[in-house]
Amino acid sequence: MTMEGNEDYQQGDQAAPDAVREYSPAKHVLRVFLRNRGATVGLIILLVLICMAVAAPLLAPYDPFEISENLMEPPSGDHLMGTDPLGRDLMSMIIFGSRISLQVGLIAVGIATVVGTVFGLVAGYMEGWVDNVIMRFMDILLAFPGILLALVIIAVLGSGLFNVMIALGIAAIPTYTRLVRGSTLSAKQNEYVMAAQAQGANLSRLLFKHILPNVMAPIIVNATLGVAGAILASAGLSFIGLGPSPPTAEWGAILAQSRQYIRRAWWLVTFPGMAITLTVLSINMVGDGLRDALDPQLKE
Amino acid sequence: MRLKNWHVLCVSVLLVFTMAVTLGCAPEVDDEADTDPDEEPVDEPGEGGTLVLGQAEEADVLHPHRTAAIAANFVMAQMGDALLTRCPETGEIEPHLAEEYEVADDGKEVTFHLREDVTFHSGEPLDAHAYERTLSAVDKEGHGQGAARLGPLEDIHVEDDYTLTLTFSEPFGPLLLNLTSAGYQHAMDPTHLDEYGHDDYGRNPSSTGPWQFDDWMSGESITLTRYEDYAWAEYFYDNESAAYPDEIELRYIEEDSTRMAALEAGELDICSVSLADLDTFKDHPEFELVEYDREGNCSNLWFNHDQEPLDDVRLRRALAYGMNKEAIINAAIDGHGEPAHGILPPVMWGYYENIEDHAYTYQPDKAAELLDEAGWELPEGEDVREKDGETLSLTLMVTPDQEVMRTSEMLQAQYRELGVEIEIDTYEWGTLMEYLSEGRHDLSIVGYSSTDPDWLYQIFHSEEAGVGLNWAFVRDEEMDELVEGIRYTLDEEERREYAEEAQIRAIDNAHWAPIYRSDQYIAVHERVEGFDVNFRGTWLLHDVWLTE
Repeated sequence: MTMEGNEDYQQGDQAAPDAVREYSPAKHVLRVFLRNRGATVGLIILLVLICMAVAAPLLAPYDPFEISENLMEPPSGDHLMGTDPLGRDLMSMIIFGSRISLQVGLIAVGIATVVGTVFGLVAGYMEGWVDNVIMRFMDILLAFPGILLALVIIAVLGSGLFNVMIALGIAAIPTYTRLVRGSTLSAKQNEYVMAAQAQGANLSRLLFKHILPNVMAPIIVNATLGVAGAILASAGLSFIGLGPSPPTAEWGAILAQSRQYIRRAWWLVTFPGMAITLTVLSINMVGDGLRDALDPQLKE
Repeated sequence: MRLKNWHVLCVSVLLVFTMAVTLGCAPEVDDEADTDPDEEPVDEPGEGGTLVLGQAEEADVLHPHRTAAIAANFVMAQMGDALLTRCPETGEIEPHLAEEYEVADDGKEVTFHLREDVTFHSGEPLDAHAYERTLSAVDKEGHGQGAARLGPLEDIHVEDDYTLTLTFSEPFGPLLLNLTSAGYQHAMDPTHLDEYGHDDYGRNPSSTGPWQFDDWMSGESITLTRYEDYAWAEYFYDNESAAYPDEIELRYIEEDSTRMAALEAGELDICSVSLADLDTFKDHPEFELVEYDREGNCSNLWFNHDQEPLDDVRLRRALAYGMNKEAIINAAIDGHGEPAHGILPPVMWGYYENIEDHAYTYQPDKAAELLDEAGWELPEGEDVREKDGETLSLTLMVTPDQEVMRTSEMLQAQYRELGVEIEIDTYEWGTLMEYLSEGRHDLSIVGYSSTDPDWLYQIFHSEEAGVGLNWAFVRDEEMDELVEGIRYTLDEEERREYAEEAQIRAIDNAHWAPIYRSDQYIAVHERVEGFDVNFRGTWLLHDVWLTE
């Protein structure tokens, strides 16, 4: 009996005529989003990056880890972005590096979103001592700057790509917890939640079926922007030698390896730097567009 | 609040391209601009000014018995004097603070007669009692080089105010050479030891050298001021009295590119040049480059003999044959170096001239044969060799230094061709040393600098495994005998024979695979006059003066 009303509504929605379907929230969001030129450009760049990551072995002209005798050659027809001090093709490295960066960004944010959302939902819905315990713990985590917390976690776990993802994920948890808790506090006052409660819905059903869908918008926006932050942070951690061990095509690591040659081989730092900048910028623009599109106050 | 996304995009892309263009057009030096043909050369040394020396690594503690850091030794060497010194050209041992010395026939007693006119920075005279106090503070557990370099010292006896006798349990071959180190063997000022104790002396040192300690800003610089009463410079200096500049500032800049940028901008007067930036300073109108040979190999591959599978000499030899040193030199140090064939460098006394006949040359086929012979075979369609179901994967532990990282990655790629997988783990130097002492590694890359073949004792004697620098964990009785011969023999010819045999044995058994020696350069700004280095690259600063 618990969810019938809701399911009826969904069925009704699916069966609705075309004229009604045009007002579906998803379409509305998409329309607002696409009207934002910055967001659209961001999305296109991001899609290109994702394609690049997926098709890296097909796109890369060389094996990214194959050393050659062409040391530090400037960009040319053979090597569009030049070669690094060990004679590896920089473009191939950057293309393969997109896999690592997107992987780090998505997994770190995945960890933070899942854990943070669960904590936030529980804290916001239960209130009382549960809320207090969770939120005081989050306050402790928040007391450290994110990157410092990540450094401490890496110091404990050891360096490496996997640990970087965990560290960045853990460091971002409090943000999501606070965000979701706040939304949950207001969402749970809604009549449909009370109705579900009255019908005897259990806790997980209440949290995940009734409240979660209604607090998703800020999570999506925050997670999108979080991916950019995580990519930037992981590049930073790699730069100071805490990232994946060599050979690696991680962008931050390429920058770190190249910094000694910054004065005579501009391509070594420019291209990985551009890769990071473009990725972070595009994700930020997408996140920005999503925020505007998902903001109920901006609805026409 | 909505971001103006278009603007952000445009500005960012513009920024990136501006950066690219700026870097691409690195400053072209105008040869004509700064040289004035009419300018008269100034010959008379002038006093005053601050001499700024650029350094990559900061000193840890300025206590001779508590540090093994080259950076600390450098500072202490400016503040102190040694009993003996070395001829800058030949390396011969000459008197300094000890005007005369005698070695007893059995080699176990050495008597020194001190100069009588020497005073500490506090004004106290330097006498045999002060030396006794310094030397009796030797703490063998402290792992300081000052202590390590005194070997089997048993007793210190003051004969009279200016005569001192050192007694050893065994004749100690490298003693006299070790006593030429003005840093590690400087006499500690008794008044400072009274005031600060040994624990704080390291931050408040005082000795007899031309420069006295003034200030230490951690992470930034150490400042030394001129000691006005100094009048006992080493015999080879023209300047017999106090130094010319008012101050020396040792400026610590860890990052190579930052340090080189500071040098080029004229912020540093003298600084070692990182090889990646060598071209910038070659033919630079404002700098003179001084080249020297380093007494040591810059890069060596250490095998851990305690760990399987490197306990098998065939495997070690295979890795030595599989190493393409020329390619590593080109990639890691821009081609500015030469392959190292033996453990010791040609510039060091005792170097075996024909070591190249024993050395391993790049022969990947031979390496593969040896690996097959040792039972490590490459299964069809696989990249990594296997033996009894285990893959041939080795851990290479190194510091994150960029030169070392490039060498490591080159080796990783070269060994991958052989079917050997290398995992590179990086650690800070302190942690790495701990791990190497514990023998956690399969392989490591470590360079060194030393003065005497006694170094072979420190790195190959079985008793040094786990406690000293025998990070290769060599436990070979014959090698022990040879390096003991180097350490405890006084006769030069005999010592040399021991040293040569030890060098051959180390290479035949592939205890290390030496990689390269890089060229060493120091850039000296044109406002600095009188700078020189000795035969092993030690900076000779006492004749230095500043023209502006």
